[in-house]
Amino acid sequence: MIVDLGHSMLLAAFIVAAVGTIVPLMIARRSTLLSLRFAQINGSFLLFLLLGSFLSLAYAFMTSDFSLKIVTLNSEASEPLIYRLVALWGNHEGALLLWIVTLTLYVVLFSFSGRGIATHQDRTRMLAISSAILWVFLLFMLWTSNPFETLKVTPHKGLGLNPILQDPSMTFHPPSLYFGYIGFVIPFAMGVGFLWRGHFKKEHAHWMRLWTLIPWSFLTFGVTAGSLWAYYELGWGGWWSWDPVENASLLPWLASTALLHAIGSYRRTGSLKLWCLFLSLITYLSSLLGTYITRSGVVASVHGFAKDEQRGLYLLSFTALLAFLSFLLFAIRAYRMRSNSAVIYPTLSSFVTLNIYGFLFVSLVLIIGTLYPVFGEATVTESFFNTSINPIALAALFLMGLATFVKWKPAPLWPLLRTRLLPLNIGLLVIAILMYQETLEKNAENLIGIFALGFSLWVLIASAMAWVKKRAHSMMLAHIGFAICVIGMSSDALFQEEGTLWLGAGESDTFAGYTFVLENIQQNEASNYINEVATIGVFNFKGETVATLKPETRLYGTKGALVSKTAIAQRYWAHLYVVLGPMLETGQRSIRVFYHPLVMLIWLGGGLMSLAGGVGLLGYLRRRSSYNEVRASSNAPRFLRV
Amino acid sequence: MKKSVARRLTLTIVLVTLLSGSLYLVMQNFRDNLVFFFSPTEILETPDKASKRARLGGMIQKGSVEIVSKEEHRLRFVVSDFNEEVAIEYQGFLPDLFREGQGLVAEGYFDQKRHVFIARTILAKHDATYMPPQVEQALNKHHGKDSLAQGVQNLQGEVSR
Repeated sequence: MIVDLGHSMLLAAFIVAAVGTIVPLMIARRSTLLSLRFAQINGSFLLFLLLGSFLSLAYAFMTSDFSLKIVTLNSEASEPLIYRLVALWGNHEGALLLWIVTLTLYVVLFSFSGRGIATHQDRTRMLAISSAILWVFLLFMLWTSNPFETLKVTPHKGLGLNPILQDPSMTFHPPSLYFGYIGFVIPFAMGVGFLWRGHFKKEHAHWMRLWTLIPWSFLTFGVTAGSLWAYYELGWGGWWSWDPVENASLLPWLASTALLHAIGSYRRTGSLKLWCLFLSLITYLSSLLGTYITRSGVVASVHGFAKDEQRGLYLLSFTALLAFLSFLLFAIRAYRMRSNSAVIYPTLSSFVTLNIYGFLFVSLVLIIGTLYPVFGEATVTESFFNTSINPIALAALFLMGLATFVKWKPAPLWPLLRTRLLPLNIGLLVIAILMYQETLEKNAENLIGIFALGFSLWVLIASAMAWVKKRAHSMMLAHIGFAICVIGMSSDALFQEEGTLWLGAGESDTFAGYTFVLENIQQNEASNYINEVATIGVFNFKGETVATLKPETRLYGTKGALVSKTAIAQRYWAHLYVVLGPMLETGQRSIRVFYHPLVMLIWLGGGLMSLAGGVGLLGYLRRRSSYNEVRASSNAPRFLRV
Repeated sequence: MKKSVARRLTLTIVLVTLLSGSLYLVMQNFRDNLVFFFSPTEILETPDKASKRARLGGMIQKGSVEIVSKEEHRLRFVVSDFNEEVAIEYQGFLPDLFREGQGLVAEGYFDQKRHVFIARTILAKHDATYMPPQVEQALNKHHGKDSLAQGVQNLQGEVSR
């Protein structure tokens, strides 16, 4: 009953979304205020319908209503409630519904934003554009992947959730990624709206920054959480493998980060105006491309649970059409809307320009490397991404160091740098010390790692100093987060150790200065799986117990799937990471061990960057009221001047 | 005015050189890092192509896993696409999903003299029901859907046992 209601609400939403796209544009000829109000009310009604539909689906999962196809395929009554709910977005159809609900939420919130910044007409157009995209997604869902599809015969048992997804992080990792990905529809609609109108003022850019910052923070958080999940759940010992889906989430992150930088430059100097508009288009299009890569399963990936060629084709044609139309509009308007201010070297704007080129370059490398397997029978190895992207990232890190003191106005670099030499010297000292370490092999990869470590220390200290002086809070905080992240990445890359131990019960072996003893292996039974738990004692050179690790292997009955659970112990600033392998004829088990120094800084830094986005939002809300006064007074602090 | 035009020109030239230079490097890098996928049938047809770096995928044949060297923990097993079979030698950690009858993708090279594929890594970033799409394709190519179904059946038998 409730499920039927949800299904009808979804069908009604399809019509309401179509009305929301067309009618406001028609009314706008008469009264722009009326059309805006209509769009607001219509959007809110649409949100109500979709939320109702989403909740009824959640209800179906909670009560294990196996008459629905996706409930049967993805959940099981014996699973804990939390995993029955996670199953809601652990499958293509449910995820798409969550996707659409999120999109609607963004559109509704956006419809109440922008009073006094953009005209009613501009706002109506932007709402119509985002509603049109929403409508296309609804069509896509009803056509190819209706979550309310029923089975002819109602089974007694469900197949259960993919065991690899049965992890607490699945409660927040996919939704936060969606809040990121999807939110970029707003800057896109703004970009198209302003191009349509033919103007883009600095206060418009300021407004666009708000709506880029929100999804950016969520996306940063989502990517960080995804990497953490891959680290402890997939059990291959790393935190990033350039998997197609990881790359898909990185593409919009790169573009939106470039967009935020371009907006900063335009607001303060008037340069890079067209870049702002262009990047606002690119950001959303790359997010759509990412959706295509994830949803169609064109490329083999750990997220292989969503594959369907028809869906892929639909998404790809939609992305291509949207790209064609928006680029055409950009090409028509660009010359007329160009900015009068050129980028002068050496100012922050010139560094932002270089930064944008860097980001686009990395995106290109990602696209080539990710999509190549679609066209050829070959795969691109991880080292392609590492060797192509790391040098660029190193250069970007260097620019970040300079950005702590370079100004928006042209000024010679050296006198400015001379007053801030301490952080740079610390970084260089660390580089020098590492270069003299004979145990470190000096190959290209390690050299990049050494320089990255030094530069990131420089960025960290210099940005922290600027942050304490209350300059550009959110930007400096984000840069601090990035530097911490890179410190984690590079020290892990430089000093990581890995090995394989072969242990029978009671046997021991040494690794990274610790002695590992396999004490016993026990078999247990839980509600929806059986498992083997190994107890491994870790001792230091004095023979004292340092940690007891309990890696697991689980066999999930419903899907007959084996899943390894890693065990991780914190030891000073490092992780000892253990994965259990299968038993051999000799009676020994292969156990994979890793020593990951400072690896947790990666996620700490990522979290800090996401937090920095939030700080930026608070700053926006605080400044919004005194916006005009600040703009008028020229002796306001440099980064507050807008 | 003239000065700014000159400046812009220099900046553009520098950027274009940098971009094309790095693009060239990337393309070179790209060529070096391509790894082709082979099924056992393909690798026996064209062993030359796999003599440096390749990926080999197939089903691990039942009863084929043997220990070559106990001290070095060197293993030897056979993968098949239900048409041809190739022996793989591997030394190192085995992922838990390494089971007889299970699909597998190994990266390494084909030793033509000994007729053995020497694996450096065994790719294991997936769960047990996952079949590498390349394996699926290779299996389909040689035997159609039936052998695939049979493979899956083997796999399920293995798991329930």
